[in-house]
Amino acid sequence: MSYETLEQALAMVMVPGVLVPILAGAVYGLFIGALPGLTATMATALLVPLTFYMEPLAAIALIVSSTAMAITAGDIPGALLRIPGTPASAAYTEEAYQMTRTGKSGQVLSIGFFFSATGGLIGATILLITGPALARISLNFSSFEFFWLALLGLMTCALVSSNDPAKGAVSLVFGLLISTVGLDVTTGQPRFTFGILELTGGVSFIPVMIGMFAFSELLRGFSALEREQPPAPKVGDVKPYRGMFRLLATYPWSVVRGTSLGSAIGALPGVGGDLAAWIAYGMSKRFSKTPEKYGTGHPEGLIEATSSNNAGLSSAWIPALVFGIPGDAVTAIAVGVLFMKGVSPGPRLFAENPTMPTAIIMTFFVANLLLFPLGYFAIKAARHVLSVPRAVIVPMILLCCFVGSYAVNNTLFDVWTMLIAGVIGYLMERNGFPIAPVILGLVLGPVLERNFIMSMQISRGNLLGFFERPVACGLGVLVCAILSLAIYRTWSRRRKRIRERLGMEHPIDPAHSTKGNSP
Amino acid sequence: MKISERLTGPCLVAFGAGVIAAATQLPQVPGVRFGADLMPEITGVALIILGAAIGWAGWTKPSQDRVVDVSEWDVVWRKKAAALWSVGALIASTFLFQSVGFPLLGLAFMATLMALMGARPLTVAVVAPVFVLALFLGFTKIMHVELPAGPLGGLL
Repeated sequence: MSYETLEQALAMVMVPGVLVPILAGAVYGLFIGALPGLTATMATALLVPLTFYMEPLAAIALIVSSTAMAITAGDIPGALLRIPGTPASAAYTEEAYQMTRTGKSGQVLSIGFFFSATGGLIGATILLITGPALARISLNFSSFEFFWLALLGLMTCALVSSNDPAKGAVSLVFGLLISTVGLDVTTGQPRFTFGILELTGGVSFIPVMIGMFAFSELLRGFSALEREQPPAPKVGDVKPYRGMFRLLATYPWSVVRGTSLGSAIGALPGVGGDLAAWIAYGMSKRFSKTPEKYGTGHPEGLIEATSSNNAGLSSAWIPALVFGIPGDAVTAIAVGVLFMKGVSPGPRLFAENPTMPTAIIMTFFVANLLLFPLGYFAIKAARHVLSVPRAVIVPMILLCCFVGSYAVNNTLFDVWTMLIAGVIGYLMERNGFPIAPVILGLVLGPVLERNFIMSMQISRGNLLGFFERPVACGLGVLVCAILSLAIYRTWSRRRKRIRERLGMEHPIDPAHSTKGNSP
Repeated sequence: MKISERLTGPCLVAFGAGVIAAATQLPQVPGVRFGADLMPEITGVALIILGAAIGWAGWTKPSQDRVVDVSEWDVVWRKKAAALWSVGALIASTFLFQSVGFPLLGLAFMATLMALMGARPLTVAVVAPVFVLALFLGFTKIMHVELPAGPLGGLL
């Protein structure tokens, strides 16, 4: 990329016609992201009618800044109310909420904005420098690699989200099962639709997410379980970004790993950035010197996951811009807007008009830089969420859940989906089944199934074919190793429990004691 | 509501078997070896295995708790009423949505729930209409979401 191109791109961005939409998009994204039940994808989709009246770069800048801000602001309800704003922030909502419970709401919100902006800026730099090369590498991936990668992400999520891996796996399988509803990805025939027209398009994940995370949480709040929780902490005067550089110095590798992973995963076509946060959180726990602190309000995993979040968001544009293959739902909408504006994303765009894609990448820098000042005000304002009486905020959120579910497709069917998902989510969580794997299973189910069926067809049903390509083999071995380890640990833990039980029931009977300790 | 693993395990096994049975009923496309039934069948098998593991864990647990425990709903009537209203009123709203419209339904839902949760009458009188109106106008005018106005269509 030449210096002239960069200069021209910067000149294109630094005009009021682009900067004003960036600022407006950021404020809009902050508002949507901070409202529980409203997602970044929804925010982007709702912006499309506005882009009809805008220039191509301004339209894309509006989408970029609103998405970056909405995804980051999605951490606010997650941290304060345990209701994630986006599927990506669901990966670390529990951790963030636990930090709030221990009186660190200012720190957790600062981490969200500071490390998201840092991750986003690094991701944008990587996008600018290595974008085309990364996309070329990922284009060499076949269905085998995509299958293993999706499975790795799903498994990591299932294993880290619950103390009982079997229950985490049930949640994941349940999510995968819901994803099979609708038209079959290979043959196109209806599956489990029960003659309901709305189900032919599948079960929309946004109402399910709103129901399972928001509605179920509110139901839980009405029961006596509320008494089991400590009272909401008094936040006091929050000092935004205080101690962030100290955290950066303490966990530099978390930021490096998070942004690298986010950039690499976000760059894969069809995978998107959401998965990055899940894998980053799981990987952080695996590499941490203090994995036992995870889930108790520990910042390490949060830093890694939130860094990967926005880095993945930037790099999801690599396949979208270079090859015209959307990396996630947001870039799919953005690619549609570009086509609508007569700009065809793809290799020819870089060859014929390199200024345009470079200018789009520049908007990432501006949007992520805006996260710092806007985040400052957001953190200052967000603490008031905790001071609002529950009798006021709960009805507000419930109404937002209703409207948010309805707004996805303008249909009441999605409201029903939200309600049913809410009740199921309440029952699941109450019985130790984590909710997060359901959402990820639902989102990544079609990706997993499509690549699995394609791989099965290519290998003619021979499962060894999944290990023939070097990268696929490496990923496959990793998946098998993690699965074996999880099974072994569960088995040994249960064996230990049975031993202890036998030991407790017959403490003075040597015969039983010996029997209980026998292998 | 807490359900013992001794019950959830067998239920998951039965559900998994049901999924497999339903998947095998899916019509086969000629010439397609790996069709629409493969993924549901795999998830069904996984549910059976995991259900059996969870059921077994339930039986081998040291403390045999109640099969179904609803003690967490032993709360004051206001909380029970708020929970019932939240679910019931939202379900009713789906049937009345087009005829009554979002502003009136939203107001009735929010004001009642706020009152049930113990909000002061003045707070209810101010917050509920302002929030519902802001939500309605924000979604319909700015985001172009088709929320029905109902009888207030001429005013809003």
